[in-house]
Amino acid sequence: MIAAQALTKKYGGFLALNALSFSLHPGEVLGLIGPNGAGKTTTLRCLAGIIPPSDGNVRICGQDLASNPIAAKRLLAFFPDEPRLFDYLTVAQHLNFIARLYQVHGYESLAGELLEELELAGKRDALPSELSRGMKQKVAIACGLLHSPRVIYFDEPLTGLDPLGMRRMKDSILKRAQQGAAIIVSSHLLHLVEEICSRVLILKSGCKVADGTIAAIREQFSQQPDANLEAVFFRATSQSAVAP
Amino acid sequence: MNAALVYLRWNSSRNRLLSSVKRLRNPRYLVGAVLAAWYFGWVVLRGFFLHGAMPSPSKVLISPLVVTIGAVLLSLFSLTMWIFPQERKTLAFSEAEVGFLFPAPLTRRRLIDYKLTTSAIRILFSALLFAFFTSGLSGGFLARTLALWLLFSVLSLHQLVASFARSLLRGKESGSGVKLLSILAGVLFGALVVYREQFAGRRLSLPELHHWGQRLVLLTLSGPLHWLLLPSHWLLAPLLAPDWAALSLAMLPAIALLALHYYCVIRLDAVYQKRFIDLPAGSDRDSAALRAASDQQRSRRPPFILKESGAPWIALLWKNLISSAFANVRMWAGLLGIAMILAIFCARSNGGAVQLIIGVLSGFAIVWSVFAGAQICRQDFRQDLLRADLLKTFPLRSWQVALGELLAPWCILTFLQWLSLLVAAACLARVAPPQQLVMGVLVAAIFLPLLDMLLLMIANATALLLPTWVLLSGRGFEVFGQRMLLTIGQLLALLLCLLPTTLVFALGVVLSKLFFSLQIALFAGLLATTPVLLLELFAGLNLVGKCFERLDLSTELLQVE
Repeated sequence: MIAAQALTKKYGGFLALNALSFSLHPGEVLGLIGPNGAGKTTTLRCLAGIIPPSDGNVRICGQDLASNPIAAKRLLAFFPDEPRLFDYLTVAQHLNFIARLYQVHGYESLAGELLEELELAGKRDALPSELSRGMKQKVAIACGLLHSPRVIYFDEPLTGLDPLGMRRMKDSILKRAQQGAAIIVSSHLLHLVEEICSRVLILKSGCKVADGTIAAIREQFSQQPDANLEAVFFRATSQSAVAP
Repeated sequence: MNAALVYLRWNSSRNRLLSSVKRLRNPRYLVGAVLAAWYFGWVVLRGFFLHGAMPSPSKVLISPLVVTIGAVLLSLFSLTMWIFPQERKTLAFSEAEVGFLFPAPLTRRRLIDYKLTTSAIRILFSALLFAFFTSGLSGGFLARTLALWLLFSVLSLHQLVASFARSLLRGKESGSGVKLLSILAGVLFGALVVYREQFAGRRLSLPELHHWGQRLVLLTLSGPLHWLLLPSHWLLAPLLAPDWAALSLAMLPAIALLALHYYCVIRLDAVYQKRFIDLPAGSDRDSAALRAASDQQRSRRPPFILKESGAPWIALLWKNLISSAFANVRMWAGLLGIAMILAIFCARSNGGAVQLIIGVLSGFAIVWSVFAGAQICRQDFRQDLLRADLLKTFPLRSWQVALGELLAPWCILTFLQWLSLLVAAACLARVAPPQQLVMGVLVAAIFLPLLDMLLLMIANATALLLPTWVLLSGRGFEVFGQRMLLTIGQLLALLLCLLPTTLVFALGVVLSKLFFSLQIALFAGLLATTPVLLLELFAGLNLVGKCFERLDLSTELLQVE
């Protein structure tokens, strides 16, 4: 569903992403982890078509993101760590706007369901300035899920959410995965990754250090079979990067 | 002001200055700074030192008619603050200020004083800049700075007073903009009816106009108009003072006005806080305070119903129209109504002074909108630069995003220009030959939108190529130079775009002249340029799209740091 091949991103002389390759199948949730500056957000931005990679390619459900961006983008949703809403559009207007962009027919019922699910039903006519950060994030999520994406990227999805919001977010991610979406979650919260991800990809200085199920990575980097992801992460990122 | 707040202000300003200096390592900022330094050094300071320390104001400036007109304009400007909604930007607290200062043991009064002092310092810099630019017009540099600072400070506080008063009077009622527009249309209609009754059919000669000027001055010397214009006269008086003694005397009433405004702001803020912000325990007090500080935005009615099917880029037009004050169809209908009233009045009048003034003002509005419209109407990429990442995730081709983003300011400008054109044409209906008038209006109606789109494309391409120059505008000395460079660059780009059009026009006129009269040849020449302009716009749209595609704000902002 997602196929990244030798994905490379350079900023001048700085190599932010070094020939990253991986693939993700429907229903899988990939945890993208790594220390600060590892290239997690750059990876997500390349995968979402926000920035073009310097080299390599990305295919979303078989559609090449560079040569067929419209078809590819119709299938994906990207949730950045900081929800960026339009200051002058109400919650309902945001959904109307997205429905037109993604041509979501009969969006009202879908929007209603999403607003109910995200506890925003009473905020339909509210502007972003009237919403808390968590609510803004929920609006961004409602907008992103309106067109039923088959590929979803989350960058720090739990930031700003209350405990109930966090629980619902985790459930929502798992629900979308069960429905067949391929999901990438980038986060520093290793317990979140451990809880919801079926696979983990560890990045360090733009290079892939490890990629596989949590059990496989644990086996690769730790002698103890019950070691938690935190211990495995420290061990993996303290060692030198492996070839992509 | 509290010592901690003084410390905060001082260090913030110092660090901002240091950041500006550090930024000069980046060539694009260095170029801006060098250009600004050259401009100030050679053009402004030289002119400033050439004039004496305290020259008398120019004779034109102190003529009673000019002073009266100045006072009338100043009063009208103050009136607009009461009619049109204004954000209380002076009292808007940043997120950091809300986070640190609101929970701190500081009274609201101290916070307001802090913001007003910050604003006063900012105004002082503006006054200094204006004083540089107006050297030789009136008084010495210091005197002019002082007089301008007083004037700008009072206006700034007056804007706050008007905004608070509007909020308190309005309460939670909405749609006041349309109501005000209706009232304005009514007043205008009444004034026109009275004018027709009094002066219909009379043509005013120049001596009569001069006589009118004298009558206007006399009218303001006594009666209610005198009292209405008195505050404006007080504010203008320091600018017209010939020496320091006169300046000291002239400043007294202006200072009294400043104090009165300050008192009003403090009182109105207290009332506003009590009525809207003193929430019961458990409410989100911080966000409420934030909203109060920046005069809460209201949701706007969409300009049209956006269906989920159809060209997706229309969604961007819809979104950007909502962001402008012209979101409401009723507002457009109201403006059209006013223009129609003016046009009917002018078309039926017989060459009166008011008709002349309306015609000239309409023409001026068209010319001004061509030059300044693209810089003022910014409901396009320039508004969405910080959301560029979000725009890039939309399933649209880059030219579609560009088209959707450019359409809103284009629609607004075209609508306003066509209204002005309608009024101007009506004013000329009795004096211009009908055939020429129709041709002129037709050509203007076709070319103005094309020219607007061209200018908007240039402005947006600049913003996408140099996003930090747009995002960080207003911060630092070098920004002045950058703006100069931008203006020069945009002018050059416009000239370059108009070069092929001009050549085709010339060719079209020369060829048509062989068969037709000059009038028809000119018209044919202008029409021949339309496809050229359309081709340029098509290419321009793709270019703006490419610029958007290449934009990576994270890289740009990193370079700034």
